[in-house]
Order: sequence, then C-alpha cells, then structure tokens
Amino acid sequence: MITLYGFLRKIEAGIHALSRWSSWISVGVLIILVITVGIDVVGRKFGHPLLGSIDLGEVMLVVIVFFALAFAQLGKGHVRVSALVTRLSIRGQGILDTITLLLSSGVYALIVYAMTNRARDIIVSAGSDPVTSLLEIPMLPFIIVVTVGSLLLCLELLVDFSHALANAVGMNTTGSGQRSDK
Amino acid sequence: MSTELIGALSFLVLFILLAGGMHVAFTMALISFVGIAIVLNFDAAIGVFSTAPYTIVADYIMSTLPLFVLMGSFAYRAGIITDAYTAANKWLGRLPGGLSMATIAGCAGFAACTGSSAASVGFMTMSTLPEMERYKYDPKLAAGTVASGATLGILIPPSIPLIVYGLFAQQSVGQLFIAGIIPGIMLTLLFMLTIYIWVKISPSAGPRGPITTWSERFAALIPVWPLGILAILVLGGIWGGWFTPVEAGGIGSIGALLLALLKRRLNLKGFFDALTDTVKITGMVFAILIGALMLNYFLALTGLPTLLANMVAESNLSPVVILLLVTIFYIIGGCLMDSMGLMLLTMPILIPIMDAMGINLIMYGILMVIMIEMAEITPPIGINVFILSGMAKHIPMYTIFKGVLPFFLALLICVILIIAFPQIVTFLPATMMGN
Repeated sequence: MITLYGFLRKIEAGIHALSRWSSWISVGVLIILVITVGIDVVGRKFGHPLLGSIDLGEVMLVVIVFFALAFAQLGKGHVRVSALVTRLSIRGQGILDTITLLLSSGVYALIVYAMTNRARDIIVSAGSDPVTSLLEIPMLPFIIVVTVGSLLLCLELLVDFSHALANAVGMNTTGSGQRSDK
Repeated sequence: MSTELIGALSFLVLFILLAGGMHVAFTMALISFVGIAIVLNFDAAIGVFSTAPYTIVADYIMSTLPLFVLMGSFAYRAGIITDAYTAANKWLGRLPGGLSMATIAGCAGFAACTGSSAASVGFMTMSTLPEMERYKYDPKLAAGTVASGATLGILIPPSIPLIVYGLFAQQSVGQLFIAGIIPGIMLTLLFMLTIYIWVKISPSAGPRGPITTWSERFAALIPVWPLGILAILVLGGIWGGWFTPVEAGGIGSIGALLLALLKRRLNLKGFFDALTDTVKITGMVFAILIGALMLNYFLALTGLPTLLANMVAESNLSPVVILLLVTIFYIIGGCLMDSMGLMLLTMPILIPIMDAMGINLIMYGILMVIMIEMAEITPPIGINVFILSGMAKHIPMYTIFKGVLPFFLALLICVILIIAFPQIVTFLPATMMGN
C-alpha cells in the first residue's frame, strides 16, 4: 500500500524527470541554433544566407529558455540572497522559505494562467494567429512552450515549497527546502 | 497615493523579500505584477504577464547570450585556461610574485573566451592555488589573486553581463564588447601592478617561481595560439563588421568545440555537460531578465525613474559627481547582493538617470560591469570568495577577503580612471567598421 508520503515522493520524482526531459529539449534546440547560425554565416559568405534566420533564432530561443527554467531551479541555478536566511535555524529557514517559495510559485502560476488565456484566445479566434515577421511561423506553439515551461517551473517551486513546509513544521531536518544558492 | 510613491514603496517591499531569501527573478516579477495591479488594475497586470515573457525572450539579439555561454563552456573543457596559465607561468613565474601574475594573465586569457567568472575561479583554485602554496606564497596574496583575477571574465569580452546590459539599455552588444577590450587589458595590468607593489613591500609574500629556459617559454606559447585565433576571430569579426554579435557567438561556439576536439580534451560526457551547463545558466539569466524587464515596465508606469532623472538633472551635480555617487552606491550594494541581481535591479532606475545626464551609455555599461566585479569579491556576499572558500577549505574566508582588498582598490582605481578619461572606453568602439 502506498503511503501519502510515498505518493508525494513519486509525484516529486515525476516533476524532476519532466524538468530534466525539458532541459534535453533545450539542449537539442541549442545545438540546432548553433548549426543554424553557422549555416547562415557560411551561406552569407557565398551569397546564400539562410532565409528567415532571425525568425528561426527567435522561436528557438523561446524553446531553449522556457524549457530550461525548471531545470535551473532543479539544479540550484536561480539566484537568491541567502546571507541572512542561512543564519536562521532550519525551522526558521523553513518558515521563510515556505512564504517566499509560495509567492514565487504564485508568480509563475499567474504567468501560466495569463499565457493559457492568450493561447485560448488565439485558438478561439482562428484565422488571426500571430506569426513571425518573415517566415510567418505561427507563434501559438511557442506560446504553448512558454506556458508549459512556466508550469514546470511552478511545479518545481511547489516541490521545494513542500520541503520548506516540512522543515517549518519540524518534520524534516535534513536541510532547507530552498536549496542553497548564491 | 501618487504613483511615484507606489514605485518607491515597491522597492522597499522588494528589498524585504530579497532579504527573506526570495529569488531575485521571481521577486521582481511579483513586485511588477502587484504594482501594475495597484497602479492600473488586475486585468492589466494579467495582460502584461500574457505578453511580456514571450516578447522579452523572442528577440534575436538575445541569442547572443546562450551562444557565448556555450563558447565559454566548450573553451573551459578544451583546457584553454590550463594552456593560458601554463604559458603565463613560464614567462612570468620567475619574477617576484610571478606565479600570482601568471594567474592573472591566465584569467585574462580565459576571459577572452568566456563571459563569466565562476568557471575561472573554480579552475584557478584547483590548478594555481596549490602551485602558489608550494612556493610558500602568502595565502592572502594567493587567494586574493585567484578570487580577483577571475572577475576579469565579466569585463574582457565576450561578457555575459555586457550582453545583458546591452539588451536592457538598448545599446549595441558589439560596441560594448569592443569597448571592454582596453579597460580589460588595463585592469589586468593594474592587478599585476598590485601584485608587484605587494611583493615589493613584503618580498616573502610572493617568492620567485621555478627557473625556465627561453625554449621552454616559447614552447609554452604553442598550445595558446588557438586561443588567440578564437579571440581574434570573434572580437575581430565584430570590430570589422563581419559578424553580428549573435553570429560571433555561433562561430565562437563552433570554434571552441573544434578546438576542444582537436586537443582531444572533450569526450561525449564533457560535450553534453557543456550543453546542460549552458541551458541552466541561460534559464537562470533569462528568469532574472524577464523579471527585471517587467519591473522596468512597472517602474516606467509609476514615473519614478523619470522623476528621479529629473531631480538629478536639476540638482546641478556634474556627471562626474553622479558617477562617483553611483560607484559608492554599487560598492555598498555589492556587499549585500549578487552581481547579476544587483545589476538588473538597479538598471531600471540608473539608466534613465545616466541618459538624462548625457552620460555615454556604452561607457556607463563598462563602468557598471567593473563595479559589479567589485560585488563578486566584497564581503559578506562575494560569490568568487564563496567558491574559492568552498574549494580551499584550509584558507579561512576572512583571509581571502583580506587578500582581495588590494585588488578591490585596483578596481576602484580603474573606475576612477575611466570616469576621468572616458576615452579609455569610447576610443575603440568609435573605430568600428560600419559604425
């Protein structure tokens, strides 16, 4: 029989796995971006620049960035000022982290909500999809990427929030829920 | 309540949340959302959140950032920093304090391929600190050299903070890179001069290193030539107008990868580690950038930056005095905050002020990067000192902070020289092709 704790740990493992997979999409698109820029430079030298390289670069960057956000949170990448917090007890840190992580996940939950609304509006008003300037690549898939990437970050923050909450109520003394950053 | 007051109060809340340990990126986004909701309404705030994240990121020039981060990651794994240090060591090591000077030269060489300092301080701590300790260098000098020398990474182009500044301040990233060359060389020499004076006053602090022959010195230069070619290709390409900064980043990444493969120093794991490191740093920087640009939008809405800019403009203070006051502000801020956070947090307010005062924004960008270099080594939040301290646990943190003090003064002298002679920064960009 799975306990509630075991169930939550499975959800946590699933969220971490999604963050890692999304980072591999970022890595793949980064490789394509480098190749695209290389082909464009060499092509231009021979009078055949890559058509729409700017449009391609823009949408690829959206994928690279938003699929990297959750991975950065998973790998202690996001910057915070921890000088004061680390002077507190584990429990004190847990209480502060609980508040700040809840606020942080709330911010990205709002972004998810706002971006979902925008995506829905685009789908509803079929025929007036925004597109990139030259190649006319539809922006909708990339707006969905922003939404999914933000959702993953929100979930990673909620995982950290759950650890911080455990620390705050004295259930977990293995460390702060908020991993120590800069 | 006036909107300007709301803007000012928002900063107070922002600092409270930051002190409470909230991430810089999310704090700025939260403040901007709540602020817009108060100044306008909830729907307007949701409207900004529905467009800003995509619009901020989907900008071609922003691709410069991951591409140069990738170039630095490949260059690091290609062992370029090892080669640069080895060559500098052969040439300078025999001088009093020579191993420290070689460390500075190695940092400068690596800085020409990377835009951050964390990798540099990590590697230098591993490779040069034991060498200096073996030759009985004063731990203050040895640790101070490593922590301070690594800061060159963000001034000598390519530089991640310069890219971020260029995107934020709407300044040419190419011009900023070229503008960073002379101050970067000047700061390298100032750091070396600091070591020279230190050892002159206290000869036991930096004894002479091993004797090397001329053939050994020239042989050590051979592995460094690819580094020179890569730096010339990237920076020369931007200066000559052959590449845009984005293209230079792409070419630099491919060049660094080929270099690593030619040197047989990159396996499949290293290749993927470089890529995952790059996306992690990209995610981190862009999260802050999204937050900062949304905060910028909110502050513009309050009219606070315009009010402050007008107040400063009407205060009859000269631009030099303003720049000196900003320097003091950054020294204090650098003691409290991480460099990237400090930079992005202050730009929405300070750039309009600098613009209103008629200060050249390219020069200000270089100045600001030097000022945030100070933030990387000043107590209590000095990220380079933290990394070094974490890796060299036998050196107490206060010893490292004592060691960086003379280098901090060198940074300050560099700032003063640039304020007094802005041509140090503005000369090279003015010579760029297609300017």
